[in-house]
Amino acid sequence: MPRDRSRSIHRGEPINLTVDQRPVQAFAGETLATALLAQGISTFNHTASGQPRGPYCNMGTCFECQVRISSPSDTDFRWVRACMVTVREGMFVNTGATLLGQPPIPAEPLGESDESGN
Amino acid sequence: MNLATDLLIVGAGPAGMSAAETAAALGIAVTVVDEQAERGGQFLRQPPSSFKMSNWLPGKTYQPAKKLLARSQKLSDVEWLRQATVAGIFPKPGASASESRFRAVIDTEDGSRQISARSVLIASGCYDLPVSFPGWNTPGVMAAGGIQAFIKSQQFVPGERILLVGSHPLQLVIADQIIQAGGDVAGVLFAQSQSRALKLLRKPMIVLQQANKFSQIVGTMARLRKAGVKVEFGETLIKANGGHQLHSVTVAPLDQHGKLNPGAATDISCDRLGVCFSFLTSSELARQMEADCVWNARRGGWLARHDEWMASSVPGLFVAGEITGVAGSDVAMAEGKLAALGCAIELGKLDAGAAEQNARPLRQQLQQLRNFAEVLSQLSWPGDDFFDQLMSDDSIVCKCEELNAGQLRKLFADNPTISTANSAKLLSRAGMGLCQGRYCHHSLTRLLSQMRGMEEQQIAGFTARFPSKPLSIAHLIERPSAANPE
Repeated sequence: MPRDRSRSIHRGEPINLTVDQRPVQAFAGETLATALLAQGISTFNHTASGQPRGPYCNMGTCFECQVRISSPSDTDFRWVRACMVTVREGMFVNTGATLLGQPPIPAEPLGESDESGN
Repeated sequence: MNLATDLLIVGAGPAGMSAAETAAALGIAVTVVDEQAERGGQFLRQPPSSFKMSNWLPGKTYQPAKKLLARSQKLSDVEWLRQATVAGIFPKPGASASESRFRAVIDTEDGSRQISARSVLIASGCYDLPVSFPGWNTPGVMAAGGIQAFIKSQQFVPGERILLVGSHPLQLVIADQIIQAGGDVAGVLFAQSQSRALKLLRKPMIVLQQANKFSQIVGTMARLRKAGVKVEFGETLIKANGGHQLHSVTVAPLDQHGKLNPGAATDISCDRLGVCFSFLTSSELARQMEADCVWNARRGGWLARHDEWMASSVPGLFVAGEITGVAGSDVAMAEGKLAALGCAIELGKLDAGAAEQNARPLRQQLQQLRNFAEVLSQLSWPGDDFFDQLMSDDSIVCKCEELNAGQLRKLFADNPTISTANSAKLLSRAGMGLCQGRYCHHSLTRLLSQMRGMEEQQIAGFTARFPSKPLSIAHLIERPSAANPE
């Protein structure tokens, strides 16, 4: 269930992401980890043996929160630590992918995108 | 970006900011590198500038560091590199203090850069001690400090119902911050008995010197009680339950000898667990440079040895903050200043007499603070054996290579000559994954030291190598030509 996070403070401007082919709204300045957890997404990737993993340290040391992202201007999906990356307009996010042992999922929905908003 | 600097500081937390301020005032060219988007370190994880808020970290303990943060934001002649990871630092053998004695490789989103420096200060802080128990890698289980960072910096409570389990008083502060942010705390469980926690009060001098810290803990306890939060002593976790999402944690009491009683186990439902026992220093860069370190599990694992000016065993390499023994932001700020003075003497910016005069009050202050930190760590540490009880055979030890304690115990039993962390790594692959052993080395060390009857210091650590964190090979190859200093 998505969590309400605009209760006490004024967050940044709305930012539109595509998470697993679904439109998701986040706010400027949020990390990708915040944006995903706020959507109720708890599995960020799967290990080689298929175990689900999500954020642990939230400070860039554990590598448990890795997700795959791409942007309209950079169509190659790459692995990032979701806790260390700030959301950007038009970002594509692919959660639940397997860290090793499986070819990358093709970045299909990227063809028509323009260069804006990076 | 400058490609050469006098003093390269790794870490923009209290120690790094404090050193930068003092060094810049003495005419030293300073570059500070930090992985986060904003300076302040974990203690002052800042909200992004796009958030509009007025009441960030109101607690008294934050005020000295917040003042330093405000001053450091006005330091115009210090260069700050944000969202940048120091992948490695290479000393140049035989170079004198008047030359650049170090070459650092720094990774950013746009690729890697090299910076040469006459001196280096490692102020890289620490991270929550990873504790191995069944289910600790279930999505929903987090380091308590990670939950706190979501609240401090993202103004986001990451869960509907949060349980905190550990032995460190920090978990009271975090529970309070969760409540203040509108979240729900399922309970705060301390492994140690209450009578042990109160032993500190038998040291009246330390209590008097740190009266403000005590009154704060008392105030926090009172607020939690008022909010109806259950704070229990002599109770801890056995396992985390839930496949793709944590739904409960099995907890059990410990007897007065600290032995778990799984017969009396119960489940507490929660969708987020914060684990809060202790900390490990981020000592990789210092160890990469072969600075002398000593193992002290209770104070943060590998601690860098230093002299009275915070100089390590490597010429030109200084250390400050948690890497000298986890002790909090006040110690970090004082040590950062001391390191900057020590560096100024070496670089000929300050004569020894003047430095000594500046250092005297810092040293007095540090002695009190370090005494307090030592006592606090004794009370917060549940004992070396405590962690062995949690590490049942089905507990993952190396999360990256997916090895559990049972597999490792069998491997070590079958291979009796394996008695160091490095040989265990070669045999099992433990420590070869993305976190580079940060999250298994303590558990693996416990396991081996218990099986072999050896001291943890003898097990030694995994050798720290370049790069300190994984980086893309393309980042090393496609370096913008202007960034190559040589």
